[in-house]
Amino acid sequence: MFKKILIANRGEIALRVICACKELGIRTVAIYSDADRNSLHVRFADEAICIGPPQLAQSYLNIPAVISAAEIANVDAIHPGYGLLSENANFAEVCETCHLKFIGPPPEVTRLMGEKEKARAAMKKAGVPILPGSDGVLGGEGEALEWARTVGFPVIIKASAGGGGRGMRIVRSEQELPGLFNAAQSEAAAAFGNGDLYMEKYVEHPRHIEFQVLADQYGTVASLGERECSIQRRHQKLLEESPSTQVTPELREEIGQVLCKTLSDIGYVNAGTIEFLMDQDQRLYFIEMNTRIQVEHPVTEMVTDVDLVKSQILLAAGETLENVLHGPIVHRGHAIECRINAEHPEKFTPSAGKITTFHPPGGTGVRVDTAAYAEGTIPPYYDSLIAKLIVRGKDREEAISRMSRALGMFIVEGVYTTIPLHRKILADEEFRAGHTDTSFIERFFARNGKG
Amino acid sequence: MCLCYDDTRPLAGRFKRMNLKEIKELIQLIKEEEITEFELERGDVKLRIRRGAAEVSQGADRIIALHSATVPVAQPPLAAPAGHGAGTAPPPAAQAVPAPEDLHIVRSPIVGTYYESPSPGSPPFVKPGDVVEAGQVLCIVEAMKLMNEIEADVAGEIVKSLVKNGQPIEYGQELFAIRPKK
Repeated sequence: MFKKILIANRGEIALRVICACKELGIRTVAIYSDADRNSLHVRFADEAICIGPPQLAQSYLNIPAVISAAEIANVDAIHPGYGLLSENANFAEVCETCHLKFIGPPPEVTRLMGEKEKARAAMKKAGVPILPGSDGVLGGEGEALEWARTVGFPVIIKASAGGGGRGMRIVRSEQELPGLFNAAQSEAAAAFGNGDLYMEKYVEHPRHIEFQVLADQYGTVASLGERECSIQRRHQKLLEESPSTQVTPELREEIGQVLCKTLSDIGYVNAGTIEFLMDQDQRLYFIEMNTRIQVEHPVTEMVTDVDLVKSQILLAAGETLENVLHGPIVHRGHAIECRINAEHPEKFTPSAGKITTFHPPGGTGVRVDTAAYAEGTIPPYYDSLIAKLIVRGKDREEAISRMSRALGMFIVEGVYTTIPLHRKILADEEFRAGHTDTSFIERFFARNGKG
Repeated sequence: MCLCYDDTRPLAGRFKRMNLKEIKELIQLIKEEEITEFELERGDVKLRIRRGAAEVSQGADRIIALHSATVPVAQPPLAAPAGHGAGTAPPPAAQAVPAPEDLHIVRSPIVGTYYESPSPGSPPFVKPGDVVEAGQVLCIVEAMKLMNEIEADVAGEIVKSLVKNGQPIEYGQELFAIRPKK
């Protein structure tokens, strides 16, 4: 078992890893930038090393500085958290070379999943359902039409060389196709200097469903069920829950089995999340895999009673999955998480500065993961997440009522937060009825007169 | 003070004026809590109260500075938690060594291990009393097996070395105090 771990991250996830280490009796080393000198993760780690100025590139993303800190503190392993260096295969390799255990999958697996086309191909080969699409670039209108007939309308034509909505057209019928194909091609050529297009099935109003897995170093993989994360604004998740109202026990079991076999074959180790889109016929399509712990991991922890971060550490230390899980995964109740950001709840402008009052809610079934505290300062250099509020109830109805209650008792002053926004979402009829998909937030804003 | 969490305005913006009653209450509070110095900025009002300093106390003087929520991040937070848990032999935190006005502190730009000489056994690059030019190599900080030469950023006389040979150091760690050349 590791004696000392360096946490290559900051904020609430750094604190989360420190909690897991403390409970396992492992010494912790925090790294921090000048701007995080008075952070809670620095306060609660056994040792702390300043590694750079506030800017990410010179501190938390500065691989030599992180490794140098790990060396002078003489640690056995590095936990990368989420974001930052957590999916950087180069960093994982550097750790290996320096005889520091990287708590995550092997670098080559991270690399594979990081290249979208390769990941799709690997999943397709393994029998994981993927979003149907053209094999590479479309040769012309004719080929586009053939693919569209195979895949089935509606389809989306996308520019190979870029994104941001440019060179992208949704095609709903054969008649529209030639016109839209040409429009997309001209736009792509103008925007990216390259008119190459490819095609994918277009899922209307998809739900975002992701599956949590854990894998040991001996080829055993377990699926811990799904989380639904359909409530997003500009591709940023606002709220997550488990289980999804649309995933039946049979579907959960079926996908779970396929994922376990596939990931075992690929040689996956440690924690990971596989993301899917679900169409209106409850069919799942693989989108991508995240080879790290996720922000919303507490949702799964609440319904399965599995400590995912502790599991990561134990698995990295060579434990078998059997010893980590102590029996089959049992899902109990319903959990919801709200991501509280330091942003104006209507304008979404970031709100850095000093928190003057901080009173998180408590009570039955309430969990708050945060590194914020009264009189603490939110620096302007990093993301705006200040707290995750997670609740668990015996069913979705109780979870909703509990979350509404908890949000109403969460007091933060000195900075703006999105707590008022979450309160409105929880009170929303469509949300309560479980009619969530990735365009929920647009309809919600339309109903509530916002942008 | 009502905590109206539905109200999305930051609290500090609401109160812009101070009255005599509030000032009297503050003075009373300062006396009771034996605060040495008190500074408050609210809207247009800036108030500083300093009690007549008697002895120099050993513990931290209770200096409290309250600013509105719009003050930039550089301000030190109120009653910041003092350091971290009782760790043995961590690299010393870069505490502000109270340096007299005329000394320039050279700080490490990287994390690593400090070495005073170019190689083990050879004489140190510099010692107290030496006069150095800007750009002159003062020491080595080793990071990931690479020896990084740390240069003086000002010309002047080395007054003091603030670290020991072989010591692990962090970003911003104070290495040398230099009296700059005028």
